[in-house]
Amino acid sequence: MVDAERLFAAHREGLFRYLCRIVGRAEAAQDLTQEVFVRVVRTAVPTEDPAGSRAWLFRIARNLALNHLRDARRRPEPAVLLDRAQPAVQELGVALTEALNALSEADRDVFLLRETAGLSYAEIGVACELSVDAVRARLHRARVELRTTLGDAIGRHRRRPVSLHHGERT
Amino acid sequence: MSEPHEMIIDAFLDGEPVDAERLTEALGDAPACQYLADVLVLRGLVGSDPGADAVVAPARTTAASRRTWIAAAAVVVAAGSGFGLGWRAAGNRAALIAPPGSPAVAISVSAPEPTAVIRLESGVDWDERRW
Repeated sequence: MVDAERLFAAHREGLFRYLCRIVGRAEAAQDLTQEVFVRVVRTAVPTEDPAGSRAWLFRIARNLALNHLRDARRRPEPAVLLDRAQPAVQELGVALTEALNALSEADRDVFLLRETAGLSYAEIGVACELSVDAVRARLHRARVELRTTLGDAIGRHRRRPVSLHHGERT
Repeated sequence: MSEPHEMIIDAFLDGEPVDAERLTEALGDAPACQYLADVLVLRGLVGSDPGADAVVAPARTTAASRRTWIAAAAVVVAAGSGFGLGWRAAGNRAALIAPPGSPAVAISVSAPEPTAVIRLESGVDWDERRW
């Protein structure tokens, strides 16, 4: 049996980043991250390989996020993440949120699970109930769309250092 | 630019197994190389900590909230119109009970006839000493 608390602790940052991008509100993402923890400690973690456990963890997070978004559509509280310190970052944050919202739900999920949480194609497939080929196709489509939508922002950031690694540090 | 080259670049960037020859071929394609650089920039933008120093601000007005505002505006207009009509009617009634000496006003509404008359007598129906 995988230790639920250890599993959660190992991926807490990735979960928060993913939920933050999905729901667009840091406070809601914090609440949902805690909710994931509650669900994880209540349920028996699958005794599969670590990748399977990670996919299972993010599947819980994804389901909670989708439920939250469905509830939020009934409440008039749409919001975006802004950076109060830097207007340029704020503008980019709004553009990024809008570009992500313009993607289909499944494409956005696949893209964010990859870029914010670092899941492999196989793990994303498990989390989203898709084949690896479908994950590959959706991920590419999301990147092409975002590249088009955020062309100006990407152009402005081309001179900054880039890395092969994403935010996940586990 | 060919989509297969971009898919190879995707797999390479995502740590998935890639055929070395096909990767070499993809990296020799200038548009595919540009795609690689852009995806890395995009990764940097999305992967930055979204919760750091973030505040919540209202998003642009949605269709649902527009409908709510329109409904609220309709209620305000209806209430205002009702108040205006009531104000005008109250003005007419005030004219009907204008004090003596005020300009003559044509009275078009007559008081209704009594349906019952109740007669009360002092000492019978009330005692003035008690007042």
